[in-house]
Amino acid sequence: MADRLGPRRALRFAFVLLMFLYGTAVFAPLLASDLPLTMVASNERAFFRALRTLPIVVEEAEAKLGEGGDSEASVRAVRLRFDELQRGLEGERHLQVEELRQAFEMLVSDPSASGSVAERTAQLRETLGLEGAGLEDSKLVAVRSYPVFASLTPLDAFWMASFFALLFAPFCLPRRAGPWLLGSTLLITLSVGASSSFGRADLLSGLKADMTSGDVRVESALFVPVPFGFAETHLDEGFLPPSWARTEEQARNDSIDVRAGEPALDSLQRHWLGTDALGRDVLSRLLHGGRLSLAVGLLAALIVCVLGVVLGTAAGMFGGWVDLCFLRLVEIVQSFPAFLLILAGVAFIPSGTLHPAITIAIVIGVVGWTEIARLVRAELLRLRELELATAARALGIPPLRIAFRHLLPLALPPVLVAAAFATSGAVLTESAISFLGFGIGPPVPSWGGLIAVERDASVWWLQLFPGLFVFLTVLAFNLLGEGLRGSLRAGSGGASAMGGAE
Amino acid sequence: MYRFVLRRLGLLIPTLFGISVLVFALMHLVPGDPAAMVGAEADGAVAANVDATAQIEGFRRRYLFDQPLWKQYLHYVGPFSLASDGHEWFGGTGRDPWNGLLVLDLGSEFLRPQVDVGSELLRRLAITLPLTALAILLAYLLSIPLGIYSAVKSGSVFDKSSAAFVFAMYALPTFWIGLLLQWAFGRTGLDWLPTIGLTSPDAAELEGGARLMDRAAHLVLPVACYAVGSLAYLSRQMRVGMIEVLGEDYVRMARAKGLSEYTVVSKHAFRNSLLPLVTLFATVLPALVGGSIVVETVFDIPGMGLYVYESLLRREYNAIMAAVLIGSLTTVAGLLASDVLYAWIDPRIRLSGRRTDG
Repeated sequence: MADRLGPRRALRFAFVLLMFLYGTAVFAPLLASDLPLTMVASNERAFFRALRTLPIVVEEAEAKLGEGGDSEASVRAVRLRFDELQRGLEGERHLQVEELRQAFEMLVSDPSASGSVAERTAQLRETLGLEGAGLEDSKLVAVRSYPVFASLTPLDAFWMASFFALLFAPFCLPRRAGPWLLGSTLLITLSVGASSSFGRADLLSGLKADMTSGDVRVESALFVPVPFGFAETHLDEGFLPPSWARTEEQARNDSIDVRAGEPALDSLQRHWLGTDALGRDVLSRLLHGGRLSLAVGLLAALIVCVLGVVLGTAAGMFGGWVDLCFLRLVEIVQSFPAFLLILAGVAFIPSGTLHPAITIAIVIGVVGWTEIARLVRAELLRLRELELATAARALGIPPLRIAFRHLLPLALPPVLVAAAFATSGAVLTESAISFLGFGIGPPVPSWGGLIAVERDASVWWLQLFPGLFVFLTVLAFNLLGEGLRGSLRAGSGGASAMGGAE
Repeated sequence: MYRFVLRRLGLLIPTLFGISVLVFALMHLVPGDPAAMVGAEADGAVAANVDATAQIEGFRRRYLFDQPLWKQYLHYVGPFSLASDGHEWFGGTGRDPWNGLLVLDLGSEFLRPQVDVGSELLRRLAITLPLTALAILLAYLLSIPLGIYSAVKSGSVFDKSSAAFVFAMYALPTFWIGLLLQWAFGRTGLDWLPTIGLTSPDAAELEGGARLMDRAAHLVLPVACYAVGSLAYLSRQMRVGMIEVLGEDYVRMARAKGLSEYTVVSKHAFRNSLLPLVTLFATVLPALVGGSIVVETVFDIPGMGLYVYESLLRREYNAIMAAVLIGSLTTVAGLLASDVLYAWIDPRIRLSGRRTDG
């Protein structure tokens, strides 16, 4: 393939495809979310909740301070409520709260001067008009906030930063170091960063519902391009076809509620790729699903590489009975039907112990290391006869150090090629496992799992698009592998090293 | 030749031992034991709690879960049964002396003890194997000419486009191909072919010829779905092999003699270019066994794959272990067969002992 497409073009194509897929996965929260990017709004519900509970927490904090016990948590609770109150108020009322706040702070710094704060809190509550006065009287100040960015975890941010680092890496690095540095950085950042998305199954803030019901009074809000959360359901909109393939009748269903920030019912932007049985937006689930699917693939490839390199090095360097055992083990593992073994492993490991994504990656890694191990062993058998190995031995360097410092770097190119193919294989396997229902299931989105939910051909959009993403990912990693193979073979260093790979 | 085969057979012994140990370990890696699973099942079915505990106890005794591991393993491999009604030599009553893999006893299902896993798998294999064989045949029949043609016309537009096509096919998830085929040819699309099962519901009433047509129509989509993946793989390998052969000295010699390109390719190069495909047979076969799980689930074909899928859902350890065992034995047999075939075709290997791969 590579000799016909040309390694450089294959690499370039793979790079663009991967950056696209990786980009959609990394920036998924900024592309599809039920939270607005930025909004100017006053949160009445939060304000009055703070006002209602303020006297209680103040009393509690005062009691704790008086006793001299552990008061940190309750003091923080009071401060949070003061913050919320001050955010919604301006002018004289703001100053009133500020005054009270300072009184409270004095109490914190000097618990012996006890007494007055709780009473004054109750007074404040009356002046601020919770009782009777209603919302019109106490109109709150609208504040600008950034809900999407506030919801990002530090790992998300790191991940996004690493995306740009990778994007510009090819232009900044010296030529020879490029491919493998790129590959390993991609592997590590993605698999580590992916873990940030694992815990996100139940991430459904009530903010959009509050905005719709009016509890949060919005002056202006800017939503992300796909204003639907990946777990956000629209029960009336189940199995809605993609917006461009909808009939007139399907587009005008009056029973559907349009929530805050959502496009109109007959708009093209309302569910570009349709909805699933519970009315969840397929595009949003696809974008978020990529995080898990890509991460599982890369994590599995990482485990495959580490296991393969370690075992292959051991066999290649020590020879003798270690090598003999190694060869038998490889033969045994290779004779197992890999997919069946992986399925059985994933199905038998109880789901409570590990996140299914990690289970899948580990099982794929444990079953799939043989190819790379054999490759590394063959390379080392060849390399250790070279003069540089003899020289290192003559200098008295221990064998393991020779292997890892002197020989393995030379064996790296074919391993890298195999790693690219291992990744594409792992992505395929994960999607098949999830498709069969043993892997990652709803509400957590993954590409295979998306298809598994509805297999009926009449809801084709639930099968077509997730499968397309799997296909593109596998294609991209295969292209990367082919391109690397071609360019490393052409490059001076890899020319001889590639001999053992085929 | 006999010595070569014998040596290869001898090397199989440690492999088979390793396989049996690993399959056995698979069952025991599971936290808790299947008895607990059966117990949970019984809890739902039987109201009285006493019954459930008694059932678990009976189950554990029957499958020797209360015995040390090595004893369980010996019982599992056989040929002597170590259970309480097992062989007299081992303190049993001698009512049911034989057990285990060596007497081809794969055990029965846990939840339906009357179903013997071995005979059930055989019944299912009778459906899966013809399907697989058809798919392999189809893949070979298509990939050989495709590979040869693109090798001969190397660098042409046909070669380039077929390479791109094959490369893309290689990246297609099997289940996705199946679903798309169903969508395109089923009732939602062209409505040409049935998409589910092996026969129509009214197949029993059809005449001989019509019934055959019905079966054939049901087979088209699954076989196509099976064949796509191996087709991509095989045609690539065929092309590489052919290009290699076309660069050999004897091909240049044949050309120098003034033979037509057709004769060179069909008489001189073709036979030698088939060599790599012989070995590939060993890798294609087990891949299809694994693939049958996906394909048969998608097309709802009651073969081995679907049985494995259902067993996984029901935690039928015996059935899954048996399937893993059969799958690995197929691979081992395939490797052996391809080695022997290779040695038979290529005398150099016979003489030097083993093929010198990794």
